Amino acid sequence: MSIIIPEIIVLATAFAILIADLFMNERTRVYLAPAAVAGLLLALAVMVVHTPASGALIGGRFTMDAAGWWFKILFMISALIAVLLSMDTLDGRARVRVRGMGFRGEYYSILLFSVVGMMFLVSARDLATLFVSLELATLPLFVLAAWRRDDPKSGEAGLKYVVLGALASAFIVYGFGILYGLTQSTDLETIAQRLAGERAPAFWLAAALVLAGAGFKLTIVPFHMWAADVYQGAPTPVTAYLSVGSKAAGLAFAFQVFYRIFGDALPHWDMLIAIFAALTMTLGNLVAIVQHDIKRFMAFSAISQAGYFLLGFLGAAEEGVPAMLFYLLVYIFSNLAVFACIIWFENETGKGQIEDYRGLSLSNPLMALGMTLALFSLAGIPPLSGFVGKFFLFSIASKAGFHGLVAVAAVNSTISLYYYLRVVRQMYIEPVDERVPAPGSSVSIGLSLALLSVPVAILGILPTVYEGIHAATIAWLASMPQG
Amino acid sequence: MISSAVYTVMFYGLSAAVILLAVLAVNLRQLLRAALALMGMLSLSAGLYVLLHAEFLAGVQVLVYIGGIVVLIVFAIMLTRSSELLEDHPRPLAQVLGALLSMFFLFVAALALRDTRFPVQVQTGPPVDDVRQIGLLLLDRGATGYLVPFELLSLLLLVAIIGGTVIARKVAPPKQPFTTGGDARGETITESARTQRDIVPGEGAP
Repeated sequence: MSIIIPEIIVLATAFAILIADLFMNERTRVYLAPAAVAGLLLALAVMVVHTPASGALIGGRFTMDAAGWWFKILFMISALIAVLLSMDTLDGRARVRVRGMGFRGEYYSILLFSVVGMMFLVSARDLATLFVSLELATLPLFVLAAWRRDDPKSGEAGLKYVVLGALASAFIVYGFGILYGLTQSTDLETIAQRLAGERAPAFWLAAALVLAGAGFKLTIVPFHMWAADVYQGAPTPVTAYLSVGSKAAGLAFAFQVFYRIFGDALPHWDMLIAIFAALTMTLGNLVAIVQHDIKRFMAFSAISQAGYFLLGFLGAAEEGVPAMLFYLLVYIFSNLAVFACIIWFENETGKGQIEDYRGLSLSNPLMALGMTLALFSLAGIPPLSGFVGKFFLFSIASKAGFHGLVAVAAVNSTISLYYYLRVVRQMYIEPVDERVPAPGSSVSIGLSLALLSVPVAILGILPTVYEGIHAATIAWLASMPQG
Repeated sequence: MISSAVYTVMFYGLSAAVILLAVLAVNLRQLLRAALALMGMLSLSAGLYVLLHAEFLAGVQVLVYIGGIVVLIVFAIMLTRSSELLEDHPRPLAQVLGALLSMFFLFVAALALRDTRFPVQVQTGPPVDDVRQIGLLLLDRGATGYLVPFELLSLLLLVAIIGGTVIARKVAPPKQPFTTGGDARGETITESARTQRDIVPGEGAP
């Protein structure tokens, strides 16, 4: 029974916030965010302390495994930080107020519903649950992207996201339908067993459709076109959650489908995945160079990062899965740390161009340092955690024989260093021509940046986390249908 | 029982009509006509379900899609002034590329599905359409049940309702500022109502 308790806690928090919101006034609604934080912290604590890393409930339709345990931790951490980052904007503590960001109770509760969807996604063992929970994870994101009522850009972001998201869902449903037709079962294990052996042509069609659907969620080129506009138009705290939550859910979905259903068919796609990875990295990087809006810039950065994730699918699962999970952890921490600074800066100054960050190292050295650290980690500079994560992924592709791809990835890493350093240059080197008024500080954002910076700095040096993930994945792979 | 020849003719006739109506629903410029084409397409697919002995599914299709969703769409069209779609002219190159890509996908999908022998029609006969059985399966906590997705669907619908009300709400509710200002007074209901009225149709983002 205990494996479902974290989900129940998050769900109960979501409902409690939704209902409490009805009886609160504008003054007391500031307690909603701390309530969401408390619920998530409690769920995290139960998860870490009490939840076993294996087990099954409801006749095996809800299961827990070691990799899923890590995924759920990551989802909850992302949501926790997202709530901390949203607080100032929603409670009106920002110096430059964002218009049209109301409905706090609804905001936090559907954010939590999205987390519940992601958590059920990794526990799903049949196609129906997999699809419904993926929808539950992404539908709140569509709504959140359009949250700023009086901002046409936010509306545009929501509309583009929902239309292209629906297209991706249609691909996935079509693929799932064919899989069901081929095997007459919705149970992932049964499907994998019945599919093993000879592969019908329709199997490849289904696989391509599901791959395309997963590509949308992971922003893989050529399925990336929604990302830039949605990232730019959505309210910044939502963009922060979107950039890590959607990607984590996409990766969890890809793991479920690739390793549980397609299993031994994965090596046949090596070439295709390698091409996608090269395209994704290169396009994301090249377009990121010319961006001026920092959110758009982070969107293309996120696209290029998705390309690095794909490298993990090339090698043996025993190496690829832990490397991808570890990089996801690193990516979540680094990306959220960058967004913490972006949100804080936007709250304080109302500006969001890269050039606006000029002189930040003088006006707020700590924030500038945190952002620099995170950007360096995303670029992959040793000894930060991003370097170690990328190193694992590159070595997998290299072992699998894709030396050309590794060269492309290395060149891309260098290009990315250039554009991440553009931001750092604005903060540290560019001369300050006017006296900028020093931006104020924020407790919640400062706290989250501090919480994030520590793992960004030390995850690469401390081997324990990677070892933990590695051990977890070995156990996870042992539980796979085909081993 | 319908004889096999009649069955085949009905199946292909319905399928052709469904495809035609679907193309019309996408291409018609008058939104209301497009909605009607959609309605026709959905009811004819309900006919397809009946042919496939899925009567329950056909009933749900009529109740939910035609009775609920299309009617809602028609209401939305009639209550707003956007009776005609804002014309969007993609570049010819994009149109050609899109058409080629769709044709390619259709071709590949048709080829793959033609060459695959699905076990369904070979092993079992037509599925037994038993509403009682469906209901029991949806709430079954065992290994063959669908309790988890069923419950998750209710959450999904709840999220959709919350999201819909938040996004579609025209005016701020009483006492809730349109702009969250913490302790500060935000826009009140009258102010935002006035702003809504001032918006001239046809202006703003498409």
